Amino acid sequence: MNGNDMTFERYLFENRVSPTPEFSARIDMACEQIRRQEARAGNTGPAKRKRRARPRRKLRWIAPVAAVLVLLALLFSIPGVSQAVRGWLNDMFRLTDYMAAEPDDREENADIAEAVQTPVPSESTSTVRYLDETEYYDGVDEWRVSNGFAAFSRDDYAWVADIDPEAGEILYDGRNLIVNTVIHASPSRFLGMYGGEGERFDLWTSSVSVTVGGETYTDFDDQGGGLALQSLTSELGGYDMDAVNAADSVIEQTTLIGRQSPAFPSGPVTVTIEMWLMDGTIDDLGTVGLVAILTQTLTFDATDGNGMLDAAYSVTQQLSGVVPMTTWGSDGYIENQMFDLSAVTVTATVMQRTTGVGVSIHYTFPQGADQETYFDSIVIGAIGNRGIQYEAVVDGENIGKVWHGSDFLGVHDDPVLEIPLTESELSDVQTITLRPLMRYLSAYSIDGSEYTELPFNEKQLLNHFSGRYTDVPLEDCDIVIPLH
Amino acid sequence: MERMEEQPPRPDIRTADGFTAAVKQIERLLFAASFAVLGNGDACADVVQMALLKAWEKRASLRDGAQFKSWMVRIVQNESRNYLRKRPNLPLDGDIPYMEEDHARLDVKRAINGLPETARLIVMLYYFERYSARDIGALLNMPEGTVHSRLSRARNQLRKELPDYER
Repeated sequence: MNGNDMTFERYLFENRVSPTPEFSARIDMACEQIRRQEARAGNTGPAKRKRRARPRRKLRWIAPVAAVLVLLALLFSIPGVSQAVRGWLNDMFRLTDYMAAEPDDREENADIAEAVQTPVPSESTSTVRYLDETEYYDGVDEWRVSNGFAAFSRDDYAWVADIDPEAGEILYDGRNLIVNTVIHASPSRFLGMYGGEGERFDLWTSSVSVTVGGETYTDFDDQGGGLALQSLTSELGGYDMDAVNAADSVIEQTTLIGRQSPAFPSGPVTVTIEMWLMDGTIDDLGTVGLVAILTQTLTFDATDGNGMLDAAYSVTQQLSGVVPMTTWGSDGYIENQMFDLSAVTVTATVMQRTTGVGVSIHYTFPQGADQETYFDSIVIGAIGNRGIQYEAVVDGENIGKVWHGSDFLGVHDDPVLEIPLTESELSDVQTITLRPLMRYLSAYSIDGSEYTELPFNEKQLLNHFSGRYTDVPLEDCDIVIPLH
Repeated sequence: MERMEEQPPRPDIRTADGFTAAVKQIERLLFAASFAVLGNGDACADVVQMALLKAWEKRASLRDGAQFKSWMVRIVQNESRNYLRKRPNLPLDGDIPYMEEDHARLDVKRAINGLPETARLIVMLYYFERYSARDIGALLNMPEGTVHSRLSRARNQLRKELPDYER
């Protein structure tokens, strides 16, 4: 490296692009969610869960009913266990885990099991288009050859012609839709990309379109998907290679996550999923690594999933009290202030779903105020891990903090808190109370230094810091949600 | 160029404490991986939370803990790519002047965002995070020579984009 390069190197380093404070805060949020998940799993974790023995096929439709009734009665008779059962349903990712398991190996839950559908085969179609049949082919061979790879040839990927994507199961709860597509290929084709031993192909969901009655209907805020290989993992860690070698298909799992979106109209809904099959030895993300585009179209009935949404109703509560609040301006400055909440109103709209209770939290801020700053400062997750959080008290029992779905993107929509009570559990519950807490940034540390208290009424410009947060209960602001 | 810090002990990512500790060790790497795809720091924050939760769910699929960094980079980049495909008009940070008052920083952001995606990541790791070419190669599963050749091409492009760097 010559002197010129050193100058250039120093120039780049001194003006480097660094993580934003929000980036660090989101990592902290995710870490906290992960610790909570593990804490919950500690009560009913995989090692302690008794898996139902695989029933004989002829008993498959009879055994679950009896088993579920017995198990539920047993579980709810033991103090503390009912809460743990509620816990495992706490977010979207547990639902995807549920769907990724073989039906006979799933956690017992009658409500959710009932909501899982299999599309009618006659209404399911699929296509596989090799790269050279797509609009992405231009220039790929030139790039591949100039970068030391062979030009695209279907002969190199002959196995792809037999993939035959097939509609698997669907879980729809009026807000979230999870679709399993069966891909007829050995899992070993993909393991090299997923930390195992095998080839390095990958499959990810590129786009999803939804039509209702022939008209386009796309009201999901987030969508994505990828291979679900959980059922092939070993309890000892890594993959169970016997299971891998025995399998002749894998599941591509697509999730469509809604926030406030209205349910689909009851009746048939058609979903078209486009998946990109990538050659990871070339590039698992860019079009130069594209092997084929798989398209799966299927139709399912949204009626059952919509059923409970009709029960949505709202409770409004005026907030009160003067509490610490951290504001984060668009100029990047952070400031703690004592904030009077008496002009803020919160409306909780309750939506019972097959997979739990969703409570949409909508705030009304004072007229003429800076609505954006209010939103960013008060709505938890809008920017960073601070703002108003809620504990849920179910019939007098505090079940801890409840969280909005991890799909929340903080773009001026209302977060939806997920309260993990399913239909069966709700029948015995009289009230749910939401108890608000203000969480503010009380101290920060930069590059591992000692924590420094964030002063009040003094703007600070902080870069990639670690935050320490403090919760302050909001007195006399409980939101009581009657259920019956 | 050698990395400046000793490699910390590798946490057990099967536990929440180990996983989160391992993530914190590579926070800047994850940012670079996401920014290389998105070119927008705010969007990186949106993506990383989802990516980490997915990674936690899929942790059992990581057979070799030594591959944690590569594995996380790939998950973050996949998630970033999915995010971008849904938001094709996502602005690049360098195109939002108010976000950066320092002109040199803004110039660097713009220049970085003008590079091809893989080169962006390599440049960020090499010049910003001080990874060696060998480490970058191991991380991105490419020969060290390829890292050097891409760095060389990227350096030439950056020089054209950053004519004022020698000051």
